[in-house]
Amino acid sequence: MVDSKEVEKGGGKKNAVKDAKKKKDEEMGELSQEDLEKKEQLEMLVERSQDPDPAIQKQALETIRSEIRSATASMTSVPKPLKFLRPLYPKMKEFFGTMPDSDNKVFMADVLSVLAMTMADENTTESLDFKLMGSKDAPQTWGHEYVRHLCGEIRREYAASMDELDPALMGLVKEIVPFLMSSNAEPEACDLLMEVECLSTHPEILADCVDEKNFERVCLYLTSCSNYVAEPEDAQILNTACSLYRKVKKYPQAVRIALRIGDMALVKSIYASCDDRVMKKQLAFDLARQNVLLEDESDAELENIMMNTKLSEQFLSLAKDLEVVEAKTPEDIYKLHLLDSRQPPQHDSARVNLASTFVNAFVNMGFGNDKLVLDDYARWIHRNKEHGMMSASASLGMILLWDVDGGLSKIDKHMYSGDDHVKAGALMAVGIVSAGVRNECDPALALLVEHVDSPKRPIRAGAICGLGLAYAGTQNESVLELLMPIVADAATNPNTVAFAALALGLVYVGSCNEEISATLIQAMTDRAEEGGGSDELASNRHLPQRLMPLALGLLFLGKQEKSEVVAESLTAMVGGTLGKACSATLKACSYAGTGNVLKIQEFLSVCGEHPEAARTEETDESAAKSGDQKQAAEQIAMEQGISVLGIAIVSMGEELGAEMAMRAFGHLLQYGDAPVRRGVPLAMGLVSVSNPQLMVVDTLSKLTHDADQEVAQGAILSLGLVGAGTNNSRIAALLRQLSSYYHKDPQQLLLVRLAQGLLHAAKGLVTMNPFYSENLLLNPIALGGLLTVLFCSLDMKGIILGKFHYLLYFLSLSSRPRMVFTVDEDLNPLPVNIRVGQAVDTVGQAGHPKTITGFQTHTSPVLLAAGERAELATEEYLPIASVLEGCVILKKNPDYVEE
Amino acid sequence: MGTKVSVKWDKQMYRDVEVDMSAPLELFKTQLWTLTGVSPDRQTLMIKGKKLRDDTGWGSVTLKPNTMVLMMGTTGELISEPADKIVFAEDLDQDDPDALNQLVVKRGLQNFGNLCYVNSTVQCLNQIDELQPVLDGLKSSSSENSQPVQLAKALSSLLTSLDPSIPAPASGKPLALFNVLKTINPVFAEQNQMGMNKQQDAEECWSLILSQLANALQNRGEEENPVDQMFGISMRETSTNQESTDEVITVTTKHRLLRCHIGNKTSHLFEGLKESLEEDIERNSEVLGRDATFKQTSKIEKLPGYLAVQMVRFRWKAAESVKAKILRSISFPFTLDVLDLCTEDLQAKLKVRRNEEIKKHDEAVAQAQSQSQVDAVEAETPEPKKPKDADETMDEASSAAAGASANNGEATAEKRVKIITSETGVYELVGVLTHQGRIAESGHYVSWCKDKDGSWWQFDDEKVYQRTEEDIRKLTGGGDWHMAYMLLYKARNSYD
Repeated sequence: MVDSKEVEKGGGKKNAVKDAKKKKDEEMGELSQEDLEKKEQLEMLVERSQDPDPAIQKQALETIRSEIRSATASMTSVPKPLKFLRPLYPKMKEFFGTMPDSDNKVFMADVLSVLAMTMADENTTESLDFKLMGSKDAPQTWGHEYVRHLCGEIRREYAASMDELDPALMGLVKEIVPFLMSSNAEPEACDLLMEVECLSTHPEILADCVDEKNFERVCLYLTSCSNYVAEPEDAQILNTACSLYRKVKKYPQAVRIALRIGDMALVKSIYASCDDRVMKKQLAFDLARQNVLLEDESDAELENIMMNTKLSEQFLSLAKDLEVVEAKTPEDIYKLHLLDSRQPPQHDSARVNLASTFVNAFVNMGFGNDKLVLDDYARWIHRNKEHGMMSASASLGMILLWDVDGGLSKIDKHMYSGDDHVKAGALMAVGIVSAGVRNECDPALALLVEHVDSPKRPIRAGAICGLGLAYAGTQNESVLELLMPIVADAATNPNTVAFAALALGLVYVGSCNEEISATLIQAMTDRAEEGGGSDELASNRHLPQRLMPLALGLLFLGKQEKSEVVAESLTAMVGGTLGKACSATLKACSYAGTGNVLKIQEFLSVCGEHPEAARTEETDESAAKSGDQKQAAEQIAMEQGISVLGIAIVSMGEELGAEMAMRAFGHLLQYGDAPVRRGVPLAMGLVSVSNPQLMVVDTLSKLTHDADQEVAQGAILSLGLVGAGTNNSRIAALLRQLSSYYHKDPQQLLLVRLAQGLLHAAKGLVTMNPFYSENLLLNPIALGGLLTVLFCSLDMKGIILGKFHYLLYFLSLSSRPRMVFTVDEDLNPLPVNIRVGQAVDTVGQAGHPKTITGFQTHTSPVLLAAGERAELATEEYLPIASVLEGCVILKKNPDYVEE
Repeated sequence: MGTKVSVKWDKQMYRDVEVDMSAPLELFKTQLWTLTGVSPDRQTLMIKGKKLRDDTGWGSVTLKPNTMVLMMGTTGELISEPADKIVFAEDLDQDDPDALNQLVVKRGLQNFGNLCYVNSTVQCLNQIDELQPVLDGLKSSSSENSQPVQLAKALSSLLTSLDPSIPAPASGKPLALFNVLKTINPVFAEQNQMGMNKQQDAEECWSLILSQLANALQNRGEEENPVDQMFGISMRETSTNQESTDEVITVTTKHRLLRCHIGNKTSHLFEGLKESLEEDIERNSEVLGRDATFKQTSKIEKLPGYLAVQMVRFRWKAAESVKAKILRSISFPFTLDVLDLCTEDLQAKLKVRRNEEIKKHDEAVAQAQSQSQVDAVEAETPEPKKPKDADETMDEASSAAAGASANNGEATAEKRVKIITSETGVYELVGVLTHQGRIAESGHYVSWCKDKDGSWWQFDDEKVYQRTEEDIRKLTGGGDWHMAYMLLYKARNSYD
């Protein structure tokens, strides 16, 4: 926690010198004349205070009190009176014991309480004890330092007793808190309340002293504290902050906290209690960012906002403002002319064209125009092969992303295609277009329903994926009814089941839906035995192996201990590789973004294992034995891969945890077995997605040349993820070099191209980081999309480089414009000057500290990079939003005077 | 009973569309057809996650006023799969190294050190369909071994190796040709301190090759040697004495290329050509008996089948003793009409042909149009046939003039190769030789050629890229990008 004493330490060199000099004086026993007099006077007063005559006693004590009070006003060094009284403290204490109960005894207790502070025995609570025996005067009359000291002793006392807080102490707390709050020491007040655990039991203590002026500091301090406390308590702290925000009618801030807690009932009640229409619009925007839709039949406008229907329009307006509307071709990204490259292929290579398809899809994402696939004759689609065609026609969805109305009519033509793959891609495109946005006519459902049970596998896959994308996070019941039978039916093709499971996982992300989890576990139990059968089966194992566990994990995304029941039944029912994978995935997902150290340690210990099987693999003695060993090795490999990702999943989003995870990855790279090392680059990609920090990029760049091909592959893709949507020139140069380094290796080259596509995603206007709103909130569907791709990348060869590259389009769920888009109260774009700079941590600082540093001023809409924060340059307008990210409504500042 | 609904289609809203729920769905679809132009069988209608199907009609749907109906559908034709399947590199036998080469559409030329000027020249010359048959004829008939013949043979075999239909390595080797060039003109043998061949001016190489070919093909008893049929330009130069206008000297000179002068104000190829044809020269005046200033005006008397144009971009800078380049942007047309540059006699001739062509063209277009109108009335899908028809008739009409293609050229190799001639004075751009860099002796030469199917290809030594017309338009100069240095135009005798 923040140590406010730090501030005082900077007392200045001058004082230190003075102090040293004084000390010298004391040693010499040479006090100045003045001090000597004072000392003698105080000694005399103490003497008198022990006088049998109460009148004299009282007189003496009063003089002592006034001496102390006048002296404690300055806080630079130990006040003189206290210094001189120190040696007399034991004597006074002794006398106090002999005193009969009287006013004077109470008076004496007060004095002793203050003096006890200077006796500085850390483990006693003498000061507090005397205080309780003393008068009920407000403690602050004795000075700030005394109050602080009392706080410390109250904590100690409470920690020692561990009971309900003593009423007397409680009274003291109630006195101290308002004082601290009124003297710019909000963090201390919060700390005190948290430490005596009455923040949530006695909310009125804090609430009564929170007002327009200090709520921001209090709430900010509370929210950032919540990261560091254990489970139920963090929600309590957040709840307190939330209710404080509500008290001052800062509903956007309150909703932000409620979303952080994940309490939808609270969100609803805040939304309902907000009566300011403009503010309600802002709430709708904030909820849309989290993909939350609160049914509001009465108001179509608000509902429309929550459906995210404005996203496409705003994104295009941003693009226009930044002059990047012109479509880019893959060649513009590859920049071959900068390379002294070998002869490029002159003929159609399915892989090269596939790479171009993806690059084109990512780069022109959401722009609604491109130079390849949006062609009336679908020439480009047919320059891809089989599954490539599916990816190519699905890429329409990426290009038309968020624009459901306009996009559907462009996809329409392909729905009539005679080629199964093209049609399947078109179905998926319908889903992609609606990723993260909703439409009142629900076209995705209407169009895809009839294809979900198609006898043709690609079409089925396309339709199911489309549903998963379009309805991610909506908990749509029609989708549940459609897909559950597919998962439950043991006769279904395993890949289809995997797709259906994933779709369900995404649609019901974080819902803890028992029906689905039971069905998933059943399906896995049925299929767990089949492992290792014929070749046909083996080739169909890649997808279910990765996606089924993920689907289960997604259901419990971020739900912490709520997943424990399922985890138990899982270990009981599903054995083998799949069971291990499931447990690890479930653990990782349910603690996603919590920074839970215990879970990270568990994952680390799994990664630290060096199974015998892996080592003796080469020296197989008997066939049967090696078969067993192989299976065991596979099991541990699977578990370790997921565990590495698990570390990333749990620690992401929280700065310190992420940094520590990065260090842990360094160790894993050095000491881990192959499966662990293979997971590391992907995990690094996840931890700093769309955040190209130099150190991460350097490490990944080294790994791209790793001797282990799969490590290199993961690192290449991760370079793309780390730079996703940033156009980072350093990564761009690295990838260009890689493209010439790997020009003879078609698989690596494909990945390099993919990474290039990701790096320039939406021409650098989006972020794929699931955390937003100053890293406080986690968008579950964004994380879901990201995890889908990463889990698939654990089996690069079988999935991404195999037939299922179209799963990469699940990144559309994670992509959001990284913009600040300002609008006026009627939602018309309102260009204002905005300062963008590196965010500064202002938690616990008094006053109005600068929140950004090294800023530049732009006219909105503006882009925000990772770690950046925006603020309005002038006070002409006031933002209604809690954080300047995404769509922000501004209203005129009534007090603004033009300079 | 009618309910009013809103229909949304491709970002457009049609409000208050009257719906009669008792009537079949088709009626509503027809209504929408008139509104949007999307035919009923291509309409997909959706309400609240439900698709309205033709067989179930309105079914269980209940409509409230202003219910939103989403319509999906497009006008225009559906996409059909391309007729010819693409063969992917991955489909081929990976162990067969030739398999890939067979797919190669175009071949590049290897660069043995600063030979890009030779390579790009050869690639441009390869655009001349008749060249290969002519050289073949020479090869089979002549046993002579003079330098020009050696050069012709080397070029011939090099051009053969560029033919992608013949199995060969992916790129040709210009070494043999270069060796002959070196012996003919020792300038090309110059080497720099590093022992590398020096970069040379592509135009010099171009002209040298052509003149040598002309020599090799000369004594074959024909009225004009094939090189001059291809490139020969006859100019009538009229020099008028500026001091005494009575004196007019008219001579006819022969050239194998036109020069485009680049002045301070030149910004288009045609201006440059015109400027080049008018200049002031000093020459001996017989009337005055001393040197005098003559205004020399040149007009083209005879047009070649292939018109080569050189942008005079290099200027000798005495101070730095280099051939410095003029970077000025000069735009050039894809279709060049040189009528204005010709003598009046020739102009008259060309005009006659032109009128014939225009008439034919108009007739063909008119016919095609009436045909398409008939089609439109009869069937709903008019297959656009007109360009083809027009093409065919044109081809027949101008078959006498049409260039003999490489194939039938081979057949007639023993006899005479028919070489295209210009009958209308209109040329189309088929090749661009560009230079990148600031001086002639350094930088990089690349050629950009148009294939018969209309696609453009960039030949950068052994590297070959497919390009678009847009890319070609960027070659006008004005920066440090590749800029046109030589342009090759081919006669076009018909409209299309």
